[in-house]
Amino acid sequence: MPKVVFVEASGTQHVVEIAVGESLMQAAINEMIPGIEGDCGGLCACGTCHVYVPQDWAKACGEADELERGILEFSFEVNESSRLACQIGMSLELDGMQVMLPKRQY
Amino acid sequence: MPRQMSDTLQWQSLSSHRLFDSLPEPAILVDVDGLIAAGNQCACELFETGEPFPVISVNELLTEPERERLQVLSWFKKWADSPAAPELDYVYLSVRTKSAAEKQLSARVSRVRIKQHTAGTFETFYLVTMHDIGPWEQRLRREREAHRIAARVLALSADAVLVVDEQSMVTYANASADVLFCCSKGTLLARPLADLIPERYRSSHAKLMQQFSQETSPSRYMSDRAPIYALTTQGNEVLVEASITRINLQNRTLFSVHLRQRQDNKPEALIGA
Repeated sequence: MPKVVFVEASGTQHVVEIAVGESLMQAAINEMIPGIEGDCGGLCACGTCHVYVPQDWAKACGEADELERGILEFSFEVNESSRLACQIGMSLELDGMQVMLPKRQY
Repeated sequence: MPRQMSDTLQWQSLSSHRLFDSLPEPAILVDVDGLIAAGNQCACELFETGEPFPVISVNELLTEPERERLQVLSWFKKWADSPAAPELDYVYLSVRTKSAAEKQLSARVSRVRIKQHTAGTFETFYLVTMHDIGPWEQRLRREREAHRIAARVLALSADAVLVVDEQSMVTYANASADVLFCCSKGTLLARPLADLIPERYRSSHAKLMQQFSQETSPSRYMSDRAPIYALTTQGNEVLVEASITRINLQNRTLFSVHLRQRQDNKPEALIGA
């Protein structure tokens, strides 16, 4: 099964196996990764699964749509690599990707 | 007499003005360019502005980071168009009061047309009612932390823990339960508890569950009556110690089952041999 590494702001790494098609947010919630809240359950409505996707992987993750970009306005410490983990579906292309977590989601 | 309002907004109707002013929640009227035309008494108190509410851009109420990234007028327009937008339940505006205190406000927006007294023309405003979610958020944060602790303790418990509903269907299984029952993560969910009990015990177990659900005692250690066996998904029987706890919720009852494999694990035929 492909894996994604979630890296906390403290540097702690969590390697998570994710089934193809499952969202990164859901996988992180299942594994209780600290720093991913996912309050809305994947509706793209809360912005509490904010992650930073490295530039090298951005294309494989697909582009954020207007709704996601809008909700990210409410997140903290957003930059051009910010994405919502609920909007990134796992694929084989993402195997080995590292995503960074912000210091806080609220 | 109504208190003095800004020159931007001359209320046509005194009753409208009073209604706005007496709203029990902070409310502001924002014109389509983002200028605050009026704020009610609660808004004046919340933002510590004194009366009347100053005629400023709504952006000036936001904290610095929020001001930089948030297209607040676009959101007002969206929320006025879609009063049930899902994000309204989750996102909030971070604002700064006159004394530099930061607050988090949930907002609801409607579009109103107000006739200008002097010009006699109608102008469109966003009526933004706000609610300070600070105390609620603190409570939510405490609950979230308590949940995280409980979830972590359960997940890493050496004992297998199952939660079943009133229909005896598994609604939760921790990692040790997956190991005990020899299955991969998630596959125990929604299975009947009976699948995890040797067939010869299923009928009596169902009766005991029924009996326990009627008892006043909230929990019971089950292994003192007779040996308890768990049935793995591979069909093997495992001798376990077991206890059960009833969890009464508002409109349903759940049962948590704690299982620990016994070190003297033997097939039943060998017990007492």
